[in-house]
Amino acid sequence: MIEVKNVNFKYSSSNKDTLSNIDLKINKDESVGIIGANGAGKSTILKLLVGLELQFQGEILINDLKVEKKNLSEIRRKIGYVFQDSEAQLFMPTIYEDVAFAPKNYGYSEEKVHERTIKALESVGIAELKDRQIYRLSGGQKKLASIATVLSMNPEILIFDEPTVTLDPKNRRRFIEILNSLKTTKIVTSHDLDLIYDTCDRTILVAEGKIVKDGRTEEILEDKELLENNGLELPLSLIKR
Amino acid sequence: MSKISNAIKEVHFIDNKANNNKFLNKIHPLVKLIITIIYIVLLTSINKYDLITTLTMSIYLWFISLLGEISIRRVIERLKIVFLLLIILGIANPILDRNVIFYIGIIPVTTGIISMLTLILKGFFTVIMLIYRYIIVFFKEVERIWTAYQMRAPKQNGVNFKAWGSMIGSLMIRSIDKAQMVYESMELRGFNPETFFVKTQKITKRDALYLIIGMVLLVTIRWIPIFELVGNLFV
Ligand SMILES: Nc1ncnc2c1ncn2[C@@H]1O[C@H](COP(=O)(O)OP(=O)(O)O)[C@@H](O)[C@H]1O
Ligand SMILES: [Mg+2]
Repeated sequence: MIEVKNVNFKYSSSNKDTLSNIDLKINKDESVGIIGANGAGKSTILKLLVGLELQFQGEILINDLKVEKKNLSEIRRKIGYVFQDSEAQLFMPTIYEDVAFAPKNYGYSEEKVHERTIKALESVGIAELKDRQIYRLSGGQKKLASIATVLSMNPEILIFDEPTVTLDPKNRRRFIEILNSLKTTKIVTSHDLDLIYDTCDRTILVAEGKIVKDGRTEEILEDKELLENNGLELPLSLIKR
Repeated sequence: MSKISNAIKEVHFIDNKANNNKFLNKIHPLVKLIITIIYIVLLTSINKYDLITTLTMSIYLWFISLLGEISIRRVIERLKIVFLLLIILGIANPILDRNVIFYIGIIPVTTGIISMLTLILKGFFTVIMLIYRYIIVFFKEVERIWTAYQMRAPKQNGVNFKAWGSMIGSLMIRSIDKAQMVYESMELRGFNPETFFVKTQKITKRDALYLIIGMVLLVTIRWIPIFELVGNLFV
């Protein structure tokens, strides 16, 4: 369970609050979309959850563990964070080594590392690419590889930052299938509202660092006025209907 | 730009071999790290006009390749690009300030080395892990900015003198940003520079042997003018 209690946050280089009065609770196995215009603060919320920024006011709890320096390794073990920029997430020479990086770091035996790595690769359908060098991958393959790098940790919580930005329609559909097949707590930020519609039961709308609305996905994504007032548009699939 | 892409592939090649090799795999990471640091320190300590020594330093890469059981022919084929890369790296040396401050024995300590030592103390563990990856990130960014520039200034062949400053500036900021993200990605997957190299395995006799051989080899190729000696045999 994730609990964010009255959190305020400001980047050290910025002069006004990036996030203000953020309050939310996400239960086990929920799938939650965070939507909002560019610069609304979506990515910042994710960074706070994994402790990449620690200078916030208020309290954040991951499974009752407070997000603070001494708990970081335990918390990060539970959360798989898939970056918006897959290229920056992958750093080993081959896919296999990159996916094996986390279980190796956590001290699993050689066989266990291998088992987890193969399983993670299989669950995103790129096991046959395992020895491929990272720089020879397409954008879609890089995204799948970066998902595998966090799946090999068996995380309880998965977070995805703008996962479909670099994907073509085919890979986007594949990504949605994979996402729906993963049975963990999921948080997805996006301004691809169709993606949220297809993958999340609950949606949180943020604007200028504040939560504007938190509720059932259909309820929020069908509210044309609410979306337009916050710099977003109705999902295409809803316009057609 | 094709030379740069080749150099990128070459770095991957070296890195890959080191990773696939069974013998090298068993060497304690701390030992490999020490050797790598020594290698880089020696390489950057070479006078920037001393091309011969720079070239000689590639012998260590031969050494790794041999341990990696790569066929010599392939190594020779590929090494010419490694040479090129080493030359490029050597030419990049002016970044290091080479004013001598004092001497330790016969080894000159320069301001460049001092600032480098600070770097070592702060985060060399991590930087070394990243170095190949970082070089690639850097080259990719060069390629990207170069393409963006050419698309906007198609008629100009070289880079307009005035654009240089801002191009280099944005290049640096972007590579640093990328490196920062790569580091975060490692951190989020359980990498801890303080404990990583220490806890994983015990140091064995094999490690000690590798360390000694590596150091002797590096010091030899750095200070004994091998190419010159071999050359003298034929005059
Ligand atoms: N590292 C940073 N330093 C300073 N300001 C930042 C940094 N990262 C993001 N910001 C600012 O914080 C705000 C929220 O950014 P972000 O969370 O990335 O928004 P979103 O993901 O919703 O597009 C923006 O105004 C952005 O410019
Ligand atoms: Mg963002």
